[in-house]
Amino acid sequence: MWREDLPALNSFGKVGSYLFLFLVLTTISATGTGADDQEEPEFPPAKTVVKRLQHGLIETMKVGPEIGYDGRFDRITPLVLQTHQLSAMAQLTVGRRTWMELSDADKKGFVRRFALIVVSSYASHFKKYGGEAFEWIREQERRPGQMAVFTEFQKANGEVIPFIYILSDSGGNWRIINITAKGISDLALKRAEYTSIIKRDGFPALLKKLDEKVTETREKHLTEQT
Amino acid sequence: MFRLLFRAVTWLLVLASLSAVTGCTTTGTSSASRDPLENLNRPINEINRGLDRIFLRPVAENYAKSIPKPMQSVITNFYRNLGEPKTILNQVLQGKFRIAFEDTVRFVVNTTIGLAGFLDVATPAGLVRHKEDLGQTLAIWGFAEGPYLVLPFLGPTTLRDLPSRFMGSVSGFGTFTNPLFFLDNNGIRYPLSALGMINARVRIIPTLRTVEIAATDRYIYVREAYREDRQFDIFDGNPPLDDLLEDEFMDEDLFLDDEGLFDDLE
Repeated sequence: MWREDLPALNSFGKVGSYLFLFLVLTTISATGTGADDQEEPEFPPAKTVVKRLQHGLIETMKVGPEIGYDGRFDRITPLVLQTHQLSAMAQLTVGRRTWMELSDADKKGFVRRFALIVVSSYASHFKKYGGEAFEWIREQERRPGQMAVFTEFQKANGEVIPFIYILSDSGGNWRIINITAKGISDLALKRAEYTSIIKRDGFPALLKKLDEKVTETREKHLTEQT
Repeated sequence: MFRLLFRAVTWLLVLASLSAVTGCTTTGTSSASRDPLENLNRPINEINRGLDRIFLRPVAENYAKSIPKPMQSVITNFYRNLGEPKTILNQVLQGKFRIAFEDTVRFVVNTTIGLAGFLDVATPAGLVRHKEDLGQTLAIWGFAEGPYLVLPFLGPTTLRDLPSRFMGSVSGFGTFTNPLFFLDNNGIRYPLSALGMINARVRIIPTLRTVEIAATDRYIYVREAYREDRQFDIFDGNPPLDDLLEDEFMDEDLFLDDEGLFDDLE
Protein backbone atom coordinates (compact mmCIF):
# COMPACT_ATOMS: atom_id res chain seq x y z
CA MET A 1 0.00 0.00 0.00
CA TRP A 2 2.74 2.40 0.97
CA ARG A 3 4.49 1.78 -2.35
CA GLU A 4 1.41 3.08 -4.17
CA ASP A 5 1.62 6.29 -2.18
CA LEU A 6 5.15 6.81 -3.45
CA PRO A 7 4.96 6.85 -7.24
CA ALA A 8 8.57 7.86 -7.62
CA LEU A 9 9.64 4.81 -5.68
CA ASN A 10 7.39 2.60 -7.84
CA SER A 11 9.35 3.55 -10.88
CA PHE A 12 12.53 2.26 -9.21
CA GLY A 13 11.02 -1.21 -8.81
CA LYS A 14 12.41 -3.74 -6.34
CA VAL A 15 16.01 -2.49 -6.47
CA GLY A 16 14.78 1.04 -5.79
CA SER A 17 12.81 0.00 -2.74
CA TYR A 18 15.83 -1.83 -1.29
CA LEU A 19 17.91 1.27 -1.92
CA PHE A 20 15.29 3.43 -0.21
CA LEU A 21 15.16 1.08 2.77
CA PHE A 22 18.96 1.10 2.96
CA LEU A 23 19.04 4.91 2.93
CA VAL A 24 16.39 5.16 5.65
CA LEU A 25 18.23 2.69 7.87
CA THR A 26 21.55 4.45 7.29
CA THR A 27 20.00 7.81 8.16
CA ILE A 28 18.43 6.45 11.33
CA SER A 29 21.68 4.92 12.55
CA ALA A 30 23.70 8.02 11.63
CA THR A 31 21.43 10.48 13.41
CA GLY A 32 20.98 8.24 16.41
CA THR A 33 17.21 8.59 16.53
CA GLY A 34 14.72 5.97 17.60
CA ALA A 35 15.68 3.54 20.33
CA ASP A 36 18.94 5.37 21.16
CA ASP A 37 16.97 8.33 22.50
CA GLN A 38 14.91 6.20 24.83
CA GLU A 39 17.58 3.98 26.33
CA GLU A 40 20.68 5.35 27.95
CA PRO A 41 23.73 3.55 26.56
CA GLU A 42 25.56 1.27 28.98
CA PHE A 43 28.67 3.44 28.76
CA PRO A 44 27.78 7.09 28.11
CA PRO A 45 30.18 9.24 26.07
CA ALA A 46 32.65 11.64 27.70
CA LYS A 47 30.41 14.67 27.23
CA THR A 48 27.49 12.95 29.01
CA VAL A 49 29.68 12.06 31.99
CA VAL A 50 30.72 15.71 32.41
CA LYS A 51 27.15 16.93 31.97
CA ARG A 52 25.95 14.47 34.61
CA LEU A 53 28.53 15.80 37.09
CA GLN A 54 27.76 19.44 36.33
CA HIS A 55 24.00 18.94 36.49
CA GLY A 56 24.39 17.16 39.83
CA LEU A 57 26.54 19.99 41.20
CA ILE A 58 24.06 22.69 40.16
CA GLU A 59 21.16 20.72 41.65
CA THR A 60 23.12 20.30 44.89
CA MET A 61 23.83 24.04 44.99
CA LYS A 62 20.11 24.77 44.69
CA VAL A 63 19.40 22.94 47.95
CA GLY A 64 22.88 23.56 49.39
CA PRO A 65 22.07 25.88 52.30
CA GLU A 66 19.10 23.73 53.39
CA ILE A 67 20.93 20.40 53.47
CA GLY A 68 24.17 21.87 54.85
CA TYR A 69 27.71 20.59 54.36
CA ASP A 70 26.93 16.99 55.34
CA GLY A 71 23.92 16.88 53.02
CA ARG A 72 25.98 18.20 50.12
CA PHE A 73 28.73 15.71 50.91
CA ASP A 74 26.24 12.81 50.84
CA ARG A 75 24.67 13.96 47.57
CA ILE A 76 28.00 14.56 45.82
CA THR A 77 29.71 11.32 46.91
CA PRO A 78 27.86 8.94 44.51
CA LEU A 79 28.15 11.55 41.76
CA VAL A 80 31.94 11.66 42.13
CA LEU A 81 32.23 7.87 42.33
CA GLN A 82 30.22 7.51 39.11
CA THR A 83 32.07 10.16 37.13
CA HIS A 84 35.71 10.12 38.33
CA GLN A 85 38.43 7.51 37.91
CA LEU A 86 39.61 8.00 41.50
CA SER A 87 42.24 5.27 41.71
CA ALA A 88 43.98 6.54 38.55
CA MET A 89 43.82 10.13 39.81
CA ALA A 90 45.20 9.14 43.19
CA GLN A 91 48.12 7.18 41.75
CA LEU A 92 49.04 10.05 39.44
CA THR A 93 49.22 12.49 42.36
CA VAL A 94 51.92 10.48 44.12
CA GLY A 95 53.82 9.42 41.01
CA ARG A 96 54.62 6.03 39.57
CA ARG A 97 57.65 5.25 41.71
CA THR A 98 55.93 5.91 45.04
CA TRP A 99 52.80 4.09 43.94
CA MET A 100 54.73 0.93 43.05
CA GLU A 101 56.41 0.92 46.45
CA LEU A 102 53.13 1.06 48.37
CA SER A 103 51.44 -1.99 49.84
CA ASP A 104 47.91 -2.82 48.70
CA ALA A 105 46.56 -1.66 52.06
CA ASP A 106 48.35 1.71 51.72
CA LYS A 107 47.10 2.09 48.14
CA LYS A 108 43.53 1.47 49.21
CA GLY A 109 43.86 3.73 52.24
CA PHE A 110 45.23 6.51 50.09
CA VAL A 111 42.62 6.19 47.31
CA ARG A 112 39.86 6.28 49.91
CA ARG A 113 41.26 9.43 51.53
CA PHE A 114 41.79 10.98 48.11
CA ALA A 115 38.11 10.34 47.31
CA LEU A 116 37.05 12.07 50.52
CA ILE A 117 39.27 15.06 49.71
CA VAL A 118 37.71 15.38 46.23
CA VAL A 119 34.16 15.15 47.59
CA SER A 120 34.78 17.57 50.47
CA SER A 121 36.27 20.06 48.02
CA TYR A 122 33.12 19.91 45.85
CA ALA A 123 30.87 20.17 48.94
CA SER A 124 32.79 23.27 50.04
CA HIS A 125 32.83 25.08 46.72
CA PHE A 126 29.35 24.33 45.41
CA LYS A 127 27.41 25.34 48.48
CA LYS A 128 24.71 27.77 47.33
CA TYR A 129 22.98 28.74 44.11
CA GLY A 130 22.81 32.27 42.74
CA GLY A 131 22.09 31.65 39.06
CA GLU A 132 25.37 29.90 38.20
CA ALA A 133 25.47 27.68 35.12
CA PHE A 134 27.80 25.42 33.18
CA GLU A 135 27.99 25.76 29.44
CA TRP A 136 29.39 23.08 27.15
CA ILE A 137 31.84 24.44 24.56
CA ARG A 138 33.42 21.50 22.69
CA GLU A 139 35.19 18.20 23.09
CA GLN A 140 38.42 17.02 21.57
CA GLU A 141 40.25 13.70 21.46
CA ARG A 142 43.73 14.22 22.87
CA ARG A 143 44.93 10.73 22.01
CA PRO A 144 43.22 7.35 21.70
CA GLY A 145 41.44 6.72 24.99
CA GLN A 146 41.71 10.29 26.24
CA MET A 147 39.21 13.07 25.69
CA ALA A 148 39.18 16.76 26.70
CA VAL A 149 35.78 18.35 27.33
CA PHE A 150 35.81 22.15 27.30
CA THR A 151 33.13 23.93 29.35
CA GLU A 152 32.59 27.28 31.04
CA PHE A 153 31.28 28.00 34.51
CA GLN A 154 29.27 31.20 34.60
CA LYS A 155 29.33 32.71 38.07
CA ALA A 156 26.45 34.73 39.49
CA ASN A 157 28.46 37.95 39.10
CA GLY A 158 28.92 37.32 35.37
CA GLU A 159 32.52 36.12 35.63
CA VAL A 160 33.25 33.18 33.34
CA ILE A 161 35.71 30.47 34.40
CA PRO A 162 36.88 27.95 31.80
CA PHE A 163 36.67 24.37 33.07
CA ILE A 164 38.41 21.65 31.07
CA TYR A 165 37.77 18.02 31.95
CA ILE A 166 40.17 15.28 30.89
CA LEU A 167 38.53 11.88 30.68
CA SER A 168 40.02 8.47 30.12
CA ASP A 169 38.36 5.52 28.48
CA SER A 170 38.42 2.38 30.54
CA GLY A 171 36.76 -0.32 28.46
CA GLY A 172 34.28 2.09 26.91
CA ASN A 173 33.56 3.71 30.25
CA TRP A 174 34.61 7.37 30.22
CA ARG A 175 35.71 8.78 33.58
CA ILE A 176 37.19 12.12 34.65
CA ILE A 177 40.89 11.97 35.55
CA ASN A 178 41.71 15.68 35.75
CA ILE A 179 40.02 19.06 35.89
CA THR A 180 41.62 22.35 34.88
CA ALA A 181 39.90 25.48 36.16
CA LYS A 182 41.10 28.75 34.61
CA GLY A 183 44.32 27.09 33.55
CA ILE A 184 45.04 25.56 36.96
CA SER A 185 45.26 21.78 36.88
CA ASP A 186 43.86 20.09 39.97
CA LEU A 187 46.04 17.04 39.46
CA ALA A 188 49.22 19.10 38.99
CA LEU A 189 48.56 21.01 42.21
CA LYS A 190 47.83 17.88 44.22
CA ARG A 191 50.82 16.09 42.73
CA ALA A 192 53.17 18.95 43.68
CA GLU A 193 51.74 19.05 47.21
CA TYR A 194 51.67 15.31 47.85
CA THR A 195 55.11 14.53 46.45
CA SER A 196 56.55 17.38 48.51
CA ILE A 197 54.93 16.08 51.71
CA ILE A 198 56.10 12.50 51.00
CA LYS A 199 59.63 13.75 50.31
CA ARG A 200 59.78 15.82 53.49
CA ASP A 201 57.80 13.77 55.99
CA GLY A 202 57.04 10.39 54.44
CA PHE A 203 53.88 8.67 53.14
CA PRO A 204 52.22 8.12 56.57
CA ALA A 205 52.43 11.90 57.12
CA LEU A 206 50.52 12.46 53.88
CA LEU A 207 47.74 10.11 55.01
CA LYS A 208 47.57 11.96 58.34
CA LYS A 209 47.41 15.35 56.63
CA LEU A 210 44.60 14.19 54.32
CA ASP A 211 42.61 12.94 57.32
CA GLU A 212 43.15 16.24 59.09
CA LYS A 213 42.14 18.19 55.99
CA VAL A 214 38.81 16.37 55.62
CA THR A 215 37.99 16.80 59.32
CA GLU A 216 39.10 20.44 59.37
CA THR A 217 37.01 21.30 56.28
CA ARG A 218 33.90 19.68 57.74
CA GLU A 219 34.31 21.38 61.13
CA LYS A 220 34.84 24.75 59.48
CA HIS A 221 31.62 24.43 57.51
CA LEU A 222 29.63 23.16 60.48
CA THR A 223 30.85 26.15 62.53
CA GLU A 224 29.77 28.52 59.74
CA GLN A 225 26.32 26.90 59.62
CA THR A 226 25.69 27.37 63.34
CA MET B 1 62.45 63.45 33.25
CA PHE B 2 65.63 62.41 35.07
CA ARG B 3 63.56 60.07 37.25
CA LEU B 4 62.05 58.48 34.14
CA LEU B 5 65.48 57.97 32.57
CA PHE B 6 66.83 56.51 35.78
CA ARG B 7 63.99 53.99 35.90
CA ALA B 8 64.45 53.02 32.27
CA VAL B 9 68.16 52.34 32.86
CA THR B 10 67.33 50.37 36.03
CA TRP B 11 64.88 48.14 34.19
CA LEU B 12 67.34 47.57 31.37
CA LEU B 13 69.90 46.41 33.92
CA VAL B 14 67.33 44.11 35.52
CA LEU B 15 66.46 42.68 32.11
CA ALA B 16 70.12 42.14 31.33
CA SER B 17 70.63 40.26 34.58
CA LEU B 18 67.46 38.24 33.95
CA SER B 19 68.81 37.22 30.60
CA ALA B 20 72.12 36.21 32.10
CA VAL B 21 70.56 34.18 34.90
CA THR B 22 67.88 32.41 32.92
CA GLY B 23 69.78 31.86 29.74
CA CYS B 24 67.04 33.40 27.60
CA THR B 25 65.24 30.19 26.75
CA THR B 26 61.54 29.53 26.23
CA THR B 27 58.29 30.51 27.89
CA GLY B 28 58.88 27.63 30.26
CA THR B 29 56.42 25.36 32.07
CA SER B 30 55.53 24.68 35.66
CA SER B 31 57.82 22.41 37.57
CA ALA B 32 58.28 21.81 41.25
CA SER B 33 61.98 21.36 40.65
CA ARG B 34 62.46 25.06 39.96
CA ASP B 35 62.20 26.17 43.56
CA PRO B 36 65.80 26.25 44.74
CA LEU B 37 64.94 28.94 47.30
CA GLU B 38 62.17 27.00 49.03
CA ASN B 39 64.00 27.03 52.37
CA LEU B 40 64.16 30.83 52.22
CA ASN B 41 60.72 31.31 50.66
CA ARG B 42 58.80 29.29 53.25
CA PRO B 43 59.71 31.44 56.29
CA ILE B 44 59.10 34.67 54.31
CA ASN B 45 55.73 33.24 53.31
CA GLU B 46 54.89 32.63 56.96
CA ILE B 47 55.97 36.16 57.94
CA ASN B 48 53.83 37.60 55.15
CA ARG B 49 50.84 35.56 56.32
CA GLY B 50 51.37 36.82 59.87
CA LEU B 51 51.58 40.44 58.73
CA ASP B 52 48.50 39.97 56.56
CA ARG B 53 46.57 38.48 59.50
CA ILE B 54 47.44 41.47 61.69
CA PHE B 55 47.20 44.38 59.25
CA LEU B 56 45.65 43.81 55.83
CA ARG B 57 43.09 41.04 56.39
CA PRO B 58 41.08 42.76 59.15
CA VAL B 59 40.95 45.97 57.08
CA ALA B 60 39.99 44.07 53.92
CA GLU B 61 37.29 42.04 55.70
CA ASN B 62 35.80 45.17 57.29
CA TYR B 63 35.89 46.93 53.94
CA ALA B 64 34.17 43.98 52.22
CA LYS B 65 31.44 43.94 54.90
CA SER B 66 30.84 47.67 55.30
CA ILE B 67 31.18 49.07 51.77
CA PRO B 68 28.15 48.24 49.60
CA LYS B 69 28.93 45.87 46.71
CA PRO B 70 28.05 48.39 43.94
CA MET B 71 30.43 50.90 45.52
CA GLN B 72 33.16 48.23 45.68
CA SER B 73 32.63 47.55 41.96
CA VAL B 74 32.95 51.24 41.16
CA ILE B 75 36.22 51.48 43.11
CA THR B 76 37.55 48.31 41.44
CA ASN B 77 36.69 49.79 38.03
CA PHE B 78 38.69 52.90 38.89
CA TYR B 79 41.84 50.96 39.76
CA ARG B 80 41.46 48.59 36.82
CA ASN B 81 41.25 51.59 34.54
CA LEU B 82 44.52 52.91 36.01
CA GLY B 83 46.09 49.61 34.94
CA GLU B 84 45.03 49.97 31.30
CA PRO B 85 48.09 52.00 30.13
CA LYS B 86 50.33 49.21 31.45
CA THR B 87 48.31 46.64 29.52
CA ILE B 88 48.37 48.73 26.33
CA LEU B 89 52.13 49.31 26.51
CA ASN B 90 52.78 45.59 26.96
CA GLN B 91 50.40 44.68 24.14
CA VAL B 92 52.46 46.94 21.86
CA LEU B 93 55.69 45.35 23.13
CA GLN B 94 54.21 41.93 22.34
CA GLY B 95 53.11 43.00 18.86
CA LYS B 96 49.38 42.79 19.65
CA PHE B 97 48.64 46.04 17.87
CA ARG B 98 44.96 45.53 17.09
CA ILE B 99 44.08 44.68 20.71
CA ALA B 100 46.31 47.54 21.89
CA PHE B 101 44.27 49.91 19.74
CA GLU B 102 40.98 48.49 21.06
CA ASP B 103 42.18 48.80 24.65
CA THR B 104 43.30 52.37 24.01
CA VAL B 105 39.75 53.14 22.88
CA ARG B 106 38.52 51.29 25.96
CA PHE B 107 40.76 53.40 28.22
CA VAL B 108 39.67 56.68 26.59
CA VAL B 109 35.98 55.73 26.74
CA ASN B 110 36.11 54.67 30.39
CA THR B 111 38.22 57.65 31.44
CA THR B 112 35.88 60.17 29.78
CA ILE B 113 32.33 58.79 29.50
CA GLY B 114 33.02 56.41 32.41
CA LEU B 115 33.94 59.35 34.68
CA ALA B 116 37.65 58.73 35.32
CA GLY B 117 37.12 54.98 35.08
CA PHE B 118 34.62 54.64 37.94
CA LEU B 119 32.13 53.24 35.43
CA ASP B 120 33.09 50.50 33.00
CA VAL B 121 30.97 51.55 30.04
CA ALA B 122 33.34 49.95 27.52
CA THR B 123 32.70 46.30 28.44
CA PRO B 124 28.96 46.34 27.64
CA ALA B 125 29.90 48.03 24.36
CA GLY B 126 32.01 45.01 23.43
CA LEU B 127 35.45 46.32 24.45
CA VAL B 128 36.35 43.64 26.98
CA ARG B 129 39.17 44.00 29.46
CA HIS B 130 42.55 42.37 28.90
CA LYS B 131 45.43 41.99 31.30
CA GLU B 132 49.06 42.24 30.22
CA ASP B 133 52.19 43.06 32.18
CA LEU B 134 55.94 43.06 31.78
CA GLY B 135 56.25 39.47 33.06
CA GLN B 136 53.98 38.28 30.23
CA THR B 137 55.94 40.35 27.72
CA LEU B 138 59.24 38.85 28.89
CA ALA B 139 57.73 35.37 28.54
CA ILE B 140 56.61 36.16 24.98
CA TRP B 141 60.11 37.44 24.25
CA GLY B 142 61.52 34.10 25.32
CA PHE B 143 62.75 34.68 28.85
CA ALA B 144 62.53 31.64 31.10
CA GLU B 145 60.46 31.74 34.26
CA GLY B 146 63.42 31.47 36.62
CA PRO B 147 63.17 30.47 40.27
CA TYR B 148 60.05 31.03 42.34
CA LEU B 149 60.40 33.83 44.88
CA VAL B 150 58.36 34.99 47.86
CA LEU B 151 59.01 38.68 48.45
CA PRO B 152 58.61 40.25 51.89
CA PHE B 153 55.24 42.11 51.97
CA LEU B 154 54.60 41.56 48.22
CA GLY B 155 54.25 37.76 48.14
CA PRO B 156 54.73 35.26 45.30
CA THR B 157 56.58 36.00 42.08
CA THR B 158 59.26 34.52 39.85
CA LEU B 159 62.50 36.05 38.68
CA ARG B 160 60.87 36.83 35.32
CA ASP B 161 57.92 38.54 37.02
CA LEU B 162 60.10 40.49 39.45
CA PRO B 163 60.28 43.76 37.42
CA SER B 164 56.56 43.54 36.80
CA ARG B 165 55.82 43.26 40.52
CA PHE B 166 57.37 46.67 41.04
CA MET B 167 56.26 48.28 37.79
CA GLY B 168 52.70 47.04 38.10
CA SER B 169 52.36 47.76 41.78
CA VAL B 170 48.83 48.91 42.59
CA SER B 171 50.28 51.47 44.96
CA GLY B 172 51.34 53.47 41.94
CA PHE B 173 54.76 54.25 43.35
CA GLY B 174 56.86 52.20 41.06
CA THR B 175 55.62 52.72 37.55
CA PHE B 176 55.33 55.35 34.89
CA THR B 177 52.52 53.38 33.25
CA ASN B 178 50.27 54.04 36.25
CA PRO B 179 48.68 57.53 36.07
CA LEU B 180 49.07 57.85 39.86
CA PHE B 181 52.82 58.07 39.26
CA PHE B 182 52.36 61.55 37.79
CA LEU B 183 50.32 62.90 40.71
CA ASP B 184 52.37 65.54 42.50
CA ASN B 185 49.93 66.02 45.35
CA ASN B 186 50.92 63.45 47.98
CA GLY B 187 47.80 64.30 49.97
CA ILE B 188 45.78 62.64 47.20
CA ARG B 189 48.34 60.14 45.96
CA TYR B 190 49.01 58.34 49.25
CA PRO B 191 45.37 57.76 50.26
CA LEU B 192 44.59 56.64 46.70
CA SER B 193 47.53 54.24 46.80
CA ALA B 194 46.44 52.86 50.18
CA LEU B 195 42.88 52.36 48.94
CA GLY B 196 44.26 50.59 45.87
CA MET B 197 46.16 48.20 48.10
CA ILE B 198 43.07 47.45 50.21
CA ASN B 199 40.94 47.01 47.10
CA ALA B 200 43.48 44.55 45.66
CA ARG B 201 43.44 42.58 48.94
CA VAL B 202 39.62 42.49 48.96
CA ARG B 203 39.56 41.13 45.43
CA ILE B 204 41.64 38.11 46.39
CA ILE B 205 39.43 37.11 49.35
CA PRO B 206 37.60 34.40 47.29
CA THR B 207 40.92 33.09 45.96
CA LEU B 208 42.35 32.81 49.46
CA ARG B 209 39.17 31.03 50.58
CA THR B 210 39.75 28.49 47.81
CA VAL B 211 43.32 28.02 49.01
CA GLU B 212 42.07 27.43 52.57
CA ILE B 213 39.68 24.73 51.35
CA ALA B 214 41.89 23.00 48.81
CA ALA B 215 45.47 23.24 50.05
CA THR B 216 47.09 20.41 51.94
CA ASP B 217 50.46 22.18 51.82
CA ARG B 218 49.63 25.85 51.47
CA TYR B 219 53.08 26.99 50.30
CA ILE B 220 53.27 24.41 47.48
CA TYR B 221 49.65 24.97 46.49
CA VAL B 222 50.13 28.75 46.14
CA ARG B 223 53.42 28.27 44.27
CA GLU B 224 51.93 25.92 41.68
CA ALA B 225 48.70 27.90 41.36
CA TYR B 226 50.74 31.09 40.82
CA ARG B 227 52.81 29.47 38.07
CA GLU B 228 49.81 27.95 36.30
CA ASP B 229 47.86 31.19 36.55
CA ARG B 230 50.76 33.02 34.92
CA GLN B 231 50.84 30.43 32.12
CA PHE B 232 47.12 31.05 31.63
CA ASP B 233 47.77 34.80 31.26
CA ILE B 234 50.82 34.35 29.04
CA PHE B 235 48.87 32.13 26.64
CA ASP B 236 45.88 34.52 26.72
CA GLY B 237 43.60 31.97 28.36
CA ASN B 238 44.63 29.00 26.21
CA PRO B 239 47.65 27.39 27.86
CA PRO B 240 48.70 23.94 26.68
CA LEU B 241 47.04 21.25 28.79
CA ASP B 242 49.54 19.75 31.17
CA ASP B 243 51.05 16.49 30.10
CA LEU B 244 51.17 15.01 33.54
CA LEU B 245 49.49 11.96 32.11
CA GLU B 246 51.93 11.48 29.24
CA ASP B 247 54.57 9.35 30.82
CA GLU B 248 52.74 7.03 33.12
CA PHE B 249 49.09 7.01 32.31
CA MET B 250 47.44 4.02 30.66
CA ASP B 251 49.80 1.61 32.36
CA GLU B 252 47.27 -1.07 33.16
CA ASP B 253 49.49 -2.67 35.82
CA LEU B 254 49.27 0.46 37.92
CA PHE B 255 45.50 0.51 38.12
CA LEU B 256 44.07 -0.41 41.44
CA ASP B 257 41.00 -2.53 41.62
CA ASP B 258 38.76 -0.26 43.69
CA GLU B 259 35.85 -2.69 43.67
CA GLY B 260 34.07 -2.42 46.99
CA LEU B 261 36.41 0.29 48.27
CA PHE B 262 33.66 2.88 48.53
CA ASP B 263 30.68 0.65 49.27
CA ASP B 264 30.03 2.31 52.62
CA LEU B 265 30.14 5.77 51.03
CA GLU B 266 27.62 5.10 48.27
